[in-house]
Amino acid sequence: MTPAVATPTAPTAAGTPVISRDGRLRGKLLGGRRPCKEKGCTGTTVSIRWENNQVTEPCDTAMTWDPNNQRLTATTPTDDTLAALARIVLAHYPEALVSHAQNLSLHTGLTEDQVSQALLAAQEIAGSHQSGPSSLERHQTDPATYTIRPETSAYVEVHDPNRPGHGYSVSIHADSDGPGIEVWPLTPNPNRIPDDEEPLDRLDWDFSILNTILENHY
Amino acid sequence: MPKNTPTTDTLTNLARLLSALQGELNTYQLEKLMKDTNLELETTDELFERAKTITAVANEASTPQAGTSTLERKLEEVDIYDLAGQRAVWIGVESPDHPGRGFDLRINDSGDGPVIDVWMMDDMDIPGVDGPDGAPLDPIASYAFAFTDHLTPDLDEPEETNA
Repeated sequence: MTPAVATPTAPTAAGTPVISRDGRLRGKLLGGRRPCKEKGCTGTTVSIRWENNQVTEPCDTAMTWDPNNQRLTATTPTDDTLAALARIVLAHYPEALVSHAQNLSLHTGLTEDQVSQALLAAQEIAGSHQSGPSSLERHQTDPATYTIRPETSAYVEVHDPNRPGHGYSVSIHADSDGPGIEVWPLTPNPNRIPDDEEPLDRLDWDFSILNTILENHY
Repeated sequence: MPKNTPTTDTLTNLARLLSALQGELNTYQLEKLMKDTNLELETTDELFERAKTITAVANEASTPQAGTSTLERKLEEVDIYDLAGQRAVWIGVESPDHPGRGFDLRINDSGDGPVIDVWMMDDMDIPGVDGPDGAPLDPIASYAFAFTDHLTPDLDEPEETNA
C-alpha cells in the first residue's frame, strides 16, 4: 500500500468510501481539501464523514490507498476524547501515586489534590468504557459546546443552588427523526419517583420541521 | 448566592496531564503507551494535539471560568452530566440524513432554573439568514423552569413513619 498523496490514482472525489485503519468504521470523503497545517508537511487535509456522523480532517499523507482492492484507509477517528485521554493517562500512570501527583503538579499548575483526583477519575472513566462511549463530545476550542452522539441520550442535571440535591434533569434523546427533550424533577429521593411517573414536560422536535422553517422564513 | 455546582473539569485536567506528559515520553514509552491502549500512532498524536488545544483554551480564556467545560460527566456513567452553576451549554443534535442540519439546544442556568432554547443548527451560516442588523436570530422555541416551582413536593418531604 502507498500513501494516498503519492498515488495519482487515489480517489479524491466527494463520496469516495473510506475505511478506518482498524476496520471498524466506514465513512466517505466530503470533498473539502486544504493544505496540511503541520509544519514542513506538503500534504493535503481531506474531510471525512464517518458513519457515526463524526467528521475528521486527516492529512492524506497519513492515509493509504490500496489500488488492488480499491480501498482507501484513514486513521480511526476517536470520538470520545474524555475516555481516550483517560485511557492514555491510566496507561502511563496505572496507580495514583503521591510521587506522581507531586511531579505532575509542578508541570501542570494543578494542585496535588487535583492531580490525584484526575488520576482516580481516569481509572473510573476507563472502567466505565464497557458501557459505551460518552454520549456527549465537547468541542475542543469551545468549553460550552457539545455534540450528542446519534441514537443516544444525555441527561443534564441542573442543580438548585439553594436546595442541595434538588433541581431539574433535562433528558435529551437524539432519535433518528429528531431530538426528544424531557424535563424531570431532580430530587434527593429518586427512588420515591414512581416507575410510571411522567416527565414534567416532553418536547419533540422533528428534523422535517427545519424544511418548513426555511421555506416559510427564508 | 451559594455555589452548588461542580467545579471539577475532568476533561481539562486530564488534558493538562497529557500535555505535560507528551514532552516527557521517549520512543520506547510512546510505543508502550500505544500498545497498552491499542491506539494507532496517528490517533495518539491527534489526542495529544487535542489535549494541547483544550489546555490552551483553558489557559488563554479571559476568565478561569470561561475556559472550563460547562458540563462534567459522572465518572461512572457515560450519559449523565452536571451543568456547572450559572453557565450555559449548547448541545448540537444533527440530522443523520442531512449532515450539517439539525438543532442546537441551549440549556442556560442563571441561578433561577434552566431555560431551554431550541435553535436551528448553524442558522447564521445559512446564506441570506440574518436577524436585524446581523444579530443572531431568535430561538425557534424557549422553555423556562424555575427552581421556585414546587417540584413534586411529596417527594421532598420526609418519609412518614408509622408511630
